[in-house]
Amino acid sequence: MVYTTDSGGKEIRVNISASLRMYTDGKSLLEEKKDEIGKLDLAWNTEILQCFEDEKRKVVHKISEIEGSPGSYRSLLRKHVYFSRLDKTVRGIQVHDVFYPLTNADLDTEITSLRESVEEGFTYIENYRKAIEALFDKDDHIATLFDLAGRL
Amino acid sequence: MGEEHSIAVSERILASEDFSHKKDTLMLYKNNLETLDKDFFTLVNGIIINEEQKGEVVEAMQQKTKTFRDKNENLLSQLEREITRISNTLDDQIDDMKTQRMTITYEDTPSA
Repeated sequence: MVYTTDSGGKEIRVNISASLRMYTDGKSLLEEKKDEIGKLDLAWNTEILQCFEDEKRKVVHKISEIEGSPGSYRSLLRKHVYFSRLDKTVRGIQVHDVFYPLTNADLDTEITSLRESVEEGFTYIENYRKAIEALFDKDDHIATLFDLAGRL
Repeated sequence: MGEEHSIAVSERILASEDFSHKKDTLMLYKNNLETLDKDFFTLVNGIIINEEQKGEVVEAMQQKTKTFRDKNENLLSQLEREITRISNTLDDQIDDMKTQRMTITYEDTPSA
């Protein structure tokens, strides 16, 4: 469905079917984008944050294993002490564990900007609709077509 | 009983691991967002049929579309850079955590 208008003294042909599709399908795509951003946010949490916490748990477990059976970790001592004619027996290992939180590894800024871009998308669609309507006379009922398409 | 000694050392207690696949997982979402953006802007194309006969209003609409598309593209480029960066920093920070300071107390014992 193509409408012709002579807005501004120049003939412009507008594909109204494409405009209505942009108005309805565009909104659906923005909703999908919103969902995808939510999934990205969740994926960051599981893939990055949870991964860091899981690895931290493994380190804590290993520390407790080392401190619980220091005799099994004589190889650690061998790296630093020369075993001459006297053998060495490890009597204890105390790990001075230091854990820093995961820093500077979030996507907060990007996720906020992406969410804003979705809102901007909805505004863009409404503005595009208004711009198309403005190309035609009220008698062409373009606004009515958009309203009907929006309800489908 | 032999003589007891103590030594303070820094030691890696767990092997290094590769977490680069985390980047690939997050990139899937970035790629999906890119596809959705492309689909969105494909919808806009084809609305104005005779581009060579642009009016003022049409030009303004197309300029706004270009600005919006560029902005979205920049956002996804920024997202890609950040995904790469956080995937690398995750790798580094986990690796750092696997090296810990410790005091080993040992005793000299006669060799067998």
